[in-house]
Amino acid sequence: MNPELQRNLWLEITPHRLALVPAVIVASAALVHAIDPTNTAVRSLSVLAFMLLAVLWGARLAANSVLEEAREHTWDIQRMAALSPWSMTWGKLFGATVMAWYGGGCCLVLYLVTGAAAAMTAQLPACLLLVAMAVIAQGAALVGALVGLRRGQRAQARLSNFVIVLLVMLVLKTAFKLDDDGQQLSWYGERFSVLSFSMCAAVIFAAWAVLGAVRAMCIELQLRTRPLCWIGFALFAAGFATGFTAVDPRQPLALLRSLLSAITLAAIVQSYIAAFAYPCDPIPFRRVMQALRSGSWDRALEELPLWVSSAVLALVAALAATIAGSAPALTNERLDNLGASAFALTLMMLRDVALLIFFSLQLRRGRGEATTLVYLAVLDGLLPALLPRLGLEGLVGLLLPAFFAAPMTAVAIMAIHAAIAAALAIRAYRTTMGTVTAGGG
Amino acid sequence: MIQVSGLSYEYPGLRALDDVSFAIAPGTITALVGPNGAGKTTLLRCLAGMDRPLTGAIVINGIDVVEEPRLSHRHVGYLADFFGLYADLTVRQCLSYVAAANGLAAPVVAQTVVDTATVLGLGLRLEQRAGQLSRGLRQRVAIAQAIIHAPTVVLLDEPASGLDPEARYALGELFLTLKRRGLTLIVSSHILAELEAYSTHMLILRGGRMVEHRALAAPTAQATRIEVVALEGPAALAAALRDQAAVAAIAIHGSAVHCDVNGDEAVRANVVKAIIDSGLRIVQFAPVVEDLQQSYIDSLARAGAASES
Repeated sequence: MNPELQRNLWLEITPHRLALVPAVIVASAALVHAIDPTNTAVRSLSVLAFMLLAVLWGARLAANSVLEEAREHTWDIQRMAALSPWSMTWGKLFGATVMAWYGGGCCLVLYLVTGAAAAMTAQLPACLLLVAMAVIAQGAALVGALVGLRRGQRAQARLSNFVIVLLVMLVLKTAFKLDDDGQQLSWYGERFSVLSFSMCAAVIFAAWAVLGAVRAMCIELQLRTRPLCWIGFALFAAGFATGFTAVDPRQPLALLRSLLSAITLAAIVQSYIAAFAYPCDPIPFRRVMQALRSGSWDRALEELPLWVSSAVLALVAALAATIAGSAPALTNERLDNLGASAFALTLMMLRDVALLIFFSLQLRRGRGEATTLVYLAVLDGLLPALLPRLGLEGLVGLLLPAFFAAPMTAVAIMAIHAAIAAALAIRAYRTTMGTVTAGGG
Repeated sequence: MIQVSGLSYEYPGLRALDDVSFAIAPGTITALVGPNGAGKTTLLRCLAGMDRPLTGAIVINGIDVVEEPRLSHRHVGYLADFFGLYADLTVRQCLSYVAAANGLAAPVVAQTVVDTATVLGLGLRLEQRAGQLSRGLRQRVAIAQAIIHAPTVVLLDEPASGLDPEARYALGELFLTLKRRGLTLIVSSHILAELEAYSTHMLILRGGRMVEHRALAAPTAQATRIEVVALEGPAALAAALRDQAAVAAIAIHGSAVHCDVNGDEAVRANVVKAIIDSGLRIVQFAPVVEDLQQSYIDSLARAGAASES
């Protein structure tokens, strides 16, 4: 047996807990049934209980499976172990959460047995959807916790996990419907049952969540990784989202424009997430520079901060979108054909990341992110709102240009912004490198 | 064999290790000493493959730790300064988990757990929960976890902190036992008196730089450093010693003479007899035990003077 799974089973499973969980669920169901003799309320309760147990509590347990190790100073034991990242990940993902799965499993059984017997097979997709949702939440929480460990700020890791879980639940709750009431959706022009489509999508995203957790575990376990999985997810997410646009899939150019726009947006979002999630310090850049000096391109690729790979993808996709989106018959005022706006948005992202690097290198660790957010709020929100009231409308365009109405102007202005921010970041990097003092830990 | 060359490690704005190079022979116990913030913990974590240095190479038993940290873990056991145990697991479960997680085959795990627990004096504690053990026993469980996969190198960061004198003595005896079993140990500690009891070498760090790395004076197969005192004074004694073929490196230290006697106990007995036969009255003839505390302070003072000049 997987040793990590075994250890978690030793810790989590007791006869008392095994008896208590189903007893509480059955008693709750009996109470609800007494109040509302139809099975509808019991079925709703079972789904809600599954969400609470397997999704919310399970995500918390998954995150704690590494955060507790760090707090109890046992993480080094695990990092020294010979377990593969995959074994460690699934041992934690399904071991630390075993009681959440046990409780969730009881809820699913309740959901199935209270459904109409004839519709039993129709209920299986709903159950699979719920299970996939739990895996997504737990996998995302584990990724958040592992990234949080890198920051060395466990409180932030907990907070980020909580936010992740809330976001996942919000998205999934609105995106997926459990009851197969015949509703259909269109994806790349094809019609699908909402429930079946949701189930398939959730299963695929669950696989991505587990893969993401394995990759994050690789970094913690000192395995060198390249950002192929990260880039792969951006491409997948873009391809998935493009299917929902109103673009006719029989028009290849329109489809290409839409896909390039989606890739640009996905890569921009990824860049922001990676830049703000991982600690921003100069050491990775020094490693990259050393690898490049020694001619080791592979090593340089491995040492690159994660946001760089997304930023490169965004630049490439934006350039392609700019070239492909210049047909006059099409308007740029839609997210499925960004055209040159994609390039302006990418430059804006580069400006923001450069500002983040500048403030992170200048300020005490952990304060760079908050300071950057404040400055961005002022730059992109407060000042553009304030300047017209001061009679300075003309200056608004220099801060926040019209990305869609005048994309080329936006590109020019954002290029200047990005260049200034990059100069600040480079100066801060050189200053930091020039003030390295001796003394160890 | 541990070979470290050009090792540098940086935290943002701080160089924790600066061009550190040394080699450690197998079967030795190296005391890693230095003031707070010298880089001891960072060095041990780099050696254990837990943290990746900025530059430099670490080779343990032929394995490049920087390039293959996971592979090197098979050869290295590491006890962190702030170690933890799974408090709700029994000692047997703790050891079984670490053994299995380190790749030991299932059929041998149970026996390895018993064997390791016996070596560490935990044979009767296997069914106790780790959280219920005393600090000294918890330390032993942590060391058992570090060595259960039979590493050849064991790195221990402040292993005696928080232990009472009896537990510290027992820990020193344990380290000597591990050394006799062929393991190479690097032990960092602030308590030099305890390191003195079992260390064969001393490696001093200060400000991320290596100040000194050398063998401590101790009996070897080749020579024993002896301190001799005679009523007639050191000059007459030194003259008498120079006539002995087995004696070398004669030096006067105050009223005493230090010399290296090449050979075993019989040779040393012959040297004593020859001194007495020459008419000198011996007051003291004993192996020199190096005062680690003094050596450490002297080394730091020399390093400080060198850096100022």
